[in-house]
Amino acid sequence: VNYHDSPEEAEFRAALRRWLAESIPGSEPPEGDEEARATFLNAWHRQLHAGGWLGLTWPVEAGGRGLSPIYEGIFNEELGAANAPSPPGNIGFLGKAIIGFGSPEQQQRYLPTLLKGEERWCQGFSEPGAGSDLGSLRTRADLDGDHYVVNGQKVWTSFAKWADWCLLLARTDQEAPKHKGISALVLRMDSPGVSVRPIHQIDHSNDLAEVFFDDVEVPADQLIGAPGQGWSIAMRTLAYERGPADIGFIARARRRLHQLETEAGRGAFGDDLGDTAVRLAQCYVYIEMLRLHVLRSLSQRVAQGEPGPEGSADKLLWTLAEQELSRLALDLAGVAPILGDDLAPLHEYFQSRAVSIYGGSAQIQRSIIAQRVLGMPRS
Amino acid sequence: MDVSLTPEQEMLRETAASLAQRIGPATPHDLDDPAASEAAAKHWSMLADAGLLGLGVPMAAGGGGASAVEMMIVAEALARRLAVVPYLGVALALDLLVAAGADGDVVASVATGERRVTVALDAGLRDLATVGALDGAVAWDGAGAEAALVLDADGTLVAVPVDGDGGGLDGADLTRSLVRLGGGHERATELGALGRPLDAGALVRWRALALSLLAADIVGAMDGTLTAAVDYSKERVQFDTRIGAFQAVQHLCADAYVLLEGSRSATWYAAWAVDAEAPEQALLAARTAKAFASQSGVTVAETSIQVHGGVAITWEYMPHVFLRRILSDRAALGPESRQLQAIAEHRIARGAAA
Repeated sequence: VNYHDSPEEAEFRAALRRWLAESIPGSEPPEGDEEARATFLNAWHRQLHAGGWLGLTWPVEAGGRGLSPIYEGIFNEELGAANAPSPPGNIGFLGKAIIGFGSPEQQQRYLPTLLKGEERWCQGFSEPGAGSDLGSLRTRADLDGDHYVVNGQKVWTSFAKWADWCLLLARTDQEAPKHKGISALVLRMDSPGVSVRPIHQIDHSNDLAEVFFDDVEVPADQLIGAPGQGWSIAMRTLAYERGPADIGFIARARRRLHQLETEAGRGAFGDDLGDTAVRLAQCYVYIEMLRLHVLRSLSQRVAQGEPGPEGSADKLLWTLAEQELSRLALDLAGVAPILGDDLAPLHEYFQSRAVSIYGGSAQIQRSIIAQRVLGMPRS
Repeated sequence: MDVSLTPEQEMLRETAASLAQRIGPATPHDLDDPAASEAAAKHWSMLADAGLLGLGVPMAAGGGGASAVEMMIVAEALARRLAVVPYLGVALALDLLVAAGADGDVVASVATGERRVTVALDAGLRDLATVGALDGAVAWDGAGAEAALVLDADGTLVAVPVDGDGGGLDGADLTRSLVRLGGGHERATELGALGRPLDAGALVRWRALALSLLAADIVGAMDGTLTAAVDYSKERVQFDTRIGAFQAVQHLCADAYVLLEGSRSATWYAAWAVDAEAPEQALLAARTAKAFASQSGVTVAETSIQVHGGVAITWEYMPHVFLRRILSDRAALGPESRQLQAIAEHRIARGAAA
């Protein structure tokens, strides 16, 4: 047990800190202005990449730095400490799927532009009839000579409107048992037959969408891994999506808590903080505990190679921290969100409710822990 | 950075775990067995022989020269089996003696288990007791101890005699002895020279150690009772089904597991920080771990009772003994409400340094 940086880690941290001090961009466009936010965050993505701070754990051949998972933890800590904007959320877990299962040619083709932010990606997993029961998905891809023909519908597809590519799960074998007939394909979002319908969300944002596929042709060499390997690829992707260090939550949470504590110190919530002080401390405890838990998980990943079913605990602890923090921020805003004077805390709170739903609901995570970690019997 | 146990730490954990398995009670009846006190003496010498008592004492003073991380490992392993040995009391007393530069013979005799000393907490169990406020003070985890350490006005350690024969308090915890210090005991016992006054930094560091080890004790007890609940759920059959197959039961246990692992992660850092970080930083880490482990520990122990069902509220099964231990750990040096208050003062008054 040693939380001290190794000399290499310390050097990395110092260099990142120096870079952040010079590079953090100005004010972020407000929630609700999706177009401006997408542009701002894409610019930040490219800037981080130019600095060499993305793909830390990716292999060098894939444009990454080939570092140990510990560096993801350091990256998150420093971004949070510097009040920097959130790092791009989805490149980590999408990249891990292509690194783990893509051919050398595919890695060469897709990874560099994903990492640089030159091409944007979305993830076509869930369907109207296949949410928690992802294995029941019905979108089909039928091989016809040198290409697949895709038909079906996806839903909850983040950033579909801005995406160039989609990592798609589709059924390629109608006869095989449900988890075995699924394959993963990459598909251009501007292919004929793809249509995107944005979803009007609880906070008026519309970064999620329904995506429809109508006889979409996909070259057969855009299959990732072997036919029927889609389920393993999806599980790998989701395992990474569940890690809060990988999606940058810790950096964001530390930043948000810091804002609230500073406001409290300035007397923004009254001179007598009373219960508020204790609730702020409770959020500090949750976020700090999560940070320390993730460092332990990352060390475990160094030893094991890939995240195991224990990662579901990370997701549930992250959910606890984020939902508690967002509810506190809403309460501290008083009547402003109710009167429409300040809707940001309300929308932040609404978004936090999705954390226990996406990437595998809290109930799915609990079943994974019970059956695969605690060894309780399947019913 | 490497947040995992080293091979040596793993070995220590195994040593302590196998010892705990041999000496821990199997049912609550083992605790009121007439032979229990005889057994306790034997268990104590097993702990001493394994070199676990003086683990944190510098090698120059005849100890193991280990850090608080190793002490945490032992505390957790012993609590997992609810071993009835006053490990925490002695470890915390030894740390004070070493910090004060007490006479080498005194330290050595306690580290080898020859003499037994513990610490005294004030009447509210909030902090180390002081000579000026001995009224109601309690020799904490002092089974068999001849004396309990308290602080003089200037921070010098004073050993107050413990009247073990008068019997301990009949409190919640069945596995840890609490003895109220009687009146008229302001006079020190003949323990020997107890060194120079402890300064504020040394006391802050000691509190960090104490809170970290208490958190580790809670983590061990949580692990023990959750393991028992999961095992029980795999055997108990209702509706022709092992109850562990029911989703309602699975999700209770999964939530308990999540709280356990979160507590463990916070506790590892707290214990490491005792020797690696500045005292104030270590204290913040220890309060964080103690707060989270305290609130989680009670929930996990309650979950175990729920999963065990009716048998859990009888004297035949262990879940209540775990809950009792956790409640007593939680109270020592302040429950989560007090830790959160202190964290808030630290974070907000200082303008919230990240």
